[in-house]
Amino acid sequence: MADVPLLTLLLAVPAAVALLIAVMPREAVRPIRSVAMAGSLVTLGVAVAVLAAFEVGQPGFQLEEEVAWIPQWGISYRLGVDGISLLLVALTAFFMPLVVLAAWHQHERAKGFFVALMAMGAAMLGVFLALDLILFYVLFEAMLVPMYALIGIWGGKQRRYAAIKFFLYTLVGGLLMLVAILYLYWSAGAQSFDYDVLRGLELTGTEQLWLFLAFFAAFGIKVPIFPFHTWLPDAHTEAPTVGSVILAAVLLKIGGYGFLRFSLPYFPEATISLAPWMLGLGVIGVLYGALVAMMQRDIKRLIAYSSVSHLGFVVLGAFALNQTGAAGSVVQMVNHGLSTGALFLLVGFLYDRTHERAIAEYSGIMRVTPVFGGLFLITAMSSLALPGLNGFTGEFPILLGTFAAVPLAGIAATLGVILAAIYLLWAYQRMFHGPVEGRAVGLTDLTPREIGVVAPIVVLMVAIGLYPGPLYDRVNPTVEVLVEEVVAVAEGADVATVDQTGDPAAGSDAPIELDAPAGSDLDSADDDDEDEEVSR
Amino acid sequence: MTGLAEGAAVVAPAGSPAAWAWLMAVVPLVSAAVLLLVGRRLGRAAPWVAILSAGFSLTLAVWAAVWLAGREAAERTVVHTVATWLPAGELEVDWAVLVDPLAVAMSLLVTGVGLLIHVYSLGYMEHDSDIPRFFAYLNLFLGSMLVLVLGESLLTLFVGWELVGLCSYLLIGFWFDERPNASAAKKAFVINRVGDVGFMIAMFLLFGAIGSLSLVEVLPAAEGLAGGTLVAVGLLLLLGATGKSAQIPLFVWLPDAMAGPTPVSALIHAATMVTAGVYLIARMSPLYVQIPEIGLVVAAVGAATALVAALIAVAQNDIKRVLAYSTVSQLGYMFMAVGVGAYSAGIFPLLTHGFFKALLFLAAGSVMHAMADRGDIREMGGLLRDLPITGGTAAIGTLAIAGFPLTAGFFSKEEILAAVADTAGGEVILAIGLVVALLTAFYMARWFALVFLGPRRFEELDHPPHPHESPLSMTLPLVLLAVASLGGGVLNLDPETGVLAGWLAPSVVAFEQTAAIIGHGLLEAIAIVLALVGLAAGVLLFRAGPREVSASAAPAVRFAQDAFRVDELYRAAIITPGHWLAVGLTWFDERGIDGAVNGAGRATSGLATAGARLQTGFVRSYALAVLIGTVLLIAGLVGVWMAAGDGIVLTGGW
Repeated sequence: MADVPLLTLLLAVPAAVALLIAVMPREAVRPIRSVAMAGSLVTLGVAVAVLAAFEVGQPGFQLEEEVAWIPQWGISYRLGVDGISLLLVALTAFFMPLVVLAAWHQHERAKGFFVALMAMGAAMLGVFLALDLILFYVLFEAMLVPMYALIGIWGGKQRRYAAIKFFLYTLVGGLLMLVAILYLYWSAGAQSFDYDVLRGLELTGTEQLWLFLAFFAAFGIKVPIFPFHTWLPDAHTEAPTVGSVILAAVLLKIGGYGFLRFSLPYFPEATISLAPWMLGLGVIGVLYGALVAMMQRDIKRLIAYSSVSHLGFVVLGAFALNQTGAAGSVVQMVNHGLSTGALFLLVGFLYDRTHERAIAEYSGIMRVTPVFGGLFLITAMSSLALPGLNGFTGEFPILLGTFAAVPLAGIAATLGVILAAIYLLWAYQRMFHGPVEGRAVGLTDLTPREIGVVAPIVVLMVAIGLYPGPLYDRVNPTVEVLVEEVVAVAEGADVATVDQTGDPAAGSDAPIELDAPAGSDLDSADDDDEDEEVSR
Repeated sequence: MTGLAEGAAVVAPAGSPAAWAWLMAVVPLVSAAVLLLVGRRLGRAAPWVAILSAGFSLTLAVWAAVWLAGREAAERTVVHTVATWLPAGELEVDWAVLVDPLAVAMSLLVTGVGLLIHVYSLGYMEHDSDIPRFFAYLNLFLGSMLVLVLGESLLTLFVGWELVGLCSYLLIGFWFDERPNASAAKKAFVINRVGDVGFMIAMFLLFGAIGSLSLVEVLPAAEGLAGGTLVAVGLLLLLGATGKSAQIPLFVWLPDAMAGPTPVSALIHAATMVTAGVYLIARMSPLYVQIPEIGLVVAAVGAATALVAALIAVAQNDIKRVLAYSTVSQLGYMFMAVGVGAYSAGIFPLLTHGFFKALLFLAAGSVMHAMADRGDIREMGGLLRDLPITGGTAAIGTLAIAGFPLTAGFFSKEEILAAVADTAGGEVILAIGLVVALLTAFYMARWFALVFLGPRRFEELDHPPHPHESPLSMTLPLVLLAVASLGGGVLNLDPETGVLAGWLAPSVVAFEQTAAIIGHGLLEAIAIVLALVGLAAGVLLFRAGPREVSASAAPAVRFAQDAFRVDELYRAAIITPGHWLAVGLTWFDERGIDGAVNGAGRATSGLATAGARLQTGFVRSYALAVLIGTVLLIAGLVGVWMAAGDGIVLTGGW
């Protein structure tokens, strides 16, 4: 087992399938989709193997693979998983066969479609696995292209506008991040793009602040954080069903993932000083997203804004800077992926039948299609964080953690649970309840294929809702180390500036905290020496 | 004091009913899932699956009660952990049950009344096309309610708390083809969530202060909490309780909840779910005993609700809405009791009310069944002759709720009033309690008289119904509940030495007596007189049928009929401003933010033209951005390469 490069395999399978499909004849729609399905199932299988091989209780990276790529530039091909990325990798792989199955009857330019889908899968998995920042950046930007194509080619009426908006936004954010990465490499003297090397850098407060903001540009747009969110409703609405699903289930997670993976450990001082602002933005996201969702007339836009609201929780959890919040944040990403992914799938099935997204065009769907209505209701309940279903298992720890950090933020965000009930149940009432009218007349219930797409997600919703332990067991250790690292910096700073008060705990901690920066100072001093040697 | 307040919980011995108590909740939940998945294929067997699982839970509850009664009082707080549930960072919550006298008393009520209502529904829902779904929801409710009652952690209690809210939503909206039903369902869920926010924040506070949400750890630690935390938690939990138990300010959902099928109104919206708030406050008694002044706030909320709802009930004309407001009012009574720290006096009416209100609702259902689903009591009258069992049992229910001497309601009401009379600062609450006692007897007598006595007014209707007594599956539960309503007083004949008071002692911590506003004997006499006067007035005034309202009283009556226009008030004060806020933000989102984004896009592309050329502009700006991006990327890489020149040297190890 140890010899198999599982993580490389995880990337290679969908990438190879994309290439394979690319050389298949355009007309061979059936073989193409069979290959896509087989490839995504194998990918899922590899992901399961990764889950099995992952050692629970270990905070650090596991199953690492490293090959020098461009050693002159300090670029390497380095992959690894830890508690933060493992679940997102699993989520991505889990959704791949489902989206292929959902797009089973995609006949319009099927070849390009499935190439884009598989390429997307490879790039997304790579983003979560990459432990070299150039590799990360390349994959981060590489995702753009297939997604741009999915929206721009197979999207709705306003697809070009939406695709370009999506592309520009992400590109601009990504470029700012690239500048920051290069700064880290160059000016901060790392001479490497290795994740751990950069994590050990000693940066001044000002440097941290600017670099944090540059990374924020990339990840904040991805989350998306208010006011950089308006690309999302357009992208979601115009994207074909599977595009929306991938966008919601996986792509948006890269924002929250990026914060936890890079922003917090790389720029701890900036994180601490900006945390109140980030919490503020998170609260705004939660409440603003929900209020705007309420007024949407298009069901897809409504779900898109609900994402803005739900991902506000992710930001809150990440910047609450305690273990409960951060662990909840990771689990919330998985849960949001499941529930919003399922919502988009279900809406997609409806759209396939009626080509209508306006809420007002429907009434009484539940009476006509009880299976569809029931699955939609469960998914909506998961989305509004009903205890017993998955959403709650992430949202509650986040709120608890946020309240512990800044009580007012916790209280404000908790109001989001009322708003979520309003916008979801109001939409449900208008579309699914009442007499059968409008486009609901003559609607056919879900086919076995469609049920097969959504059922696995619903099963996971219930399973995670009742027994989220296996998720947290994997997330907790990593997050614990991360949060301790950030908090240690804060306490170290406090001890340095504020007189030691009688607290024995703080007193005993203090020397340790003071040692760490001192040690790193020495390291960087060594670097300087070496640089001098070099110049000699 | 023993038990929970000191954290003196013991682990359930293997094989004991406490170790199996979790099945009480899980079996109906599994049954619900089965019914939802394959219920249609089960056909006529579907209701029996539900009834069997309800019977299983009742059996287990009885077994647990017997087992618990056989133990030393100090050994009656038993915990059993099934599995870890939520180990999120520092938070650690288990799936665990707390089997103690309070939980068992509640379980008996829930499973007992629950089973009766399952049986009743067999007849009542006979002609509905959606029977499996109905019974699935009933089972789901039963399981959820038992999660609430048995949960060992505040968070597992909260799971049940929200799940019963879901069941309420599903069952109020059971006939969702009618828009008002769907609307009432959503209203119930959303308003409950307002209360839930209070509950959640209370948990955040408690976790912050104590580091656990487990009741076994939280309750003993309540003593050491800071005053501010205690007050905040006490008030926030009260907010949660007002949502679930339909108290001021969150009571407006319950009357609308009558849109659900009548067995649902009886089970969920009268006997069990709505008492969850009372249960919560009783459960948290070690906390409230630290803050008796907040307890008085609880009692005041209860008193105000009891009065307002009773006044509204007097003016209602729908057979179920009278009972709905009556429920709100009676729940207010229970809040008065738990507010002044008389927990056995609060749980006692919770049980007796469970009997007689379930009875009254089921009787109402039986009447509607006979009246072809008509609900206006002004169109009824004289039904006692056609529906002797329904009418007779309803009469018992009416007497019990009015507090007629020696009925169950008599004892439970006396104990509440006595407890209030022993509390310093309770004068106004006590006075309100007495007024409500009079009003209760009056509106219930009016209800009974208009439905069952006097001329048969329905015969003059266009399509007069032909009333007939309901089948055995419906009358049997009525009779059993009538027996309980009559004899339920034996549960607690005396507030100090009664069976229930002794039973609950390990679970709750009662407040000290702080005053003696009025002698209990005199108080009892006054209450009896008020009940009799109210009953007599109601019957005498309305025996002959509905009465014309005099012109001077008309505005007041209409005000009460419109439920004091609280809905309109909330609409004007909260919903409309909230709506406009959402509209404003949506406009801001589309025009403000997105306008700026598009404006920036246009500016970059140098094409400030609108409309058709917009997209062209974007393609241009996209191309431009890609160009800039490429240049930047190349520049950056060149820079890196230059810097890396040193790096090669470095790694070369010169």
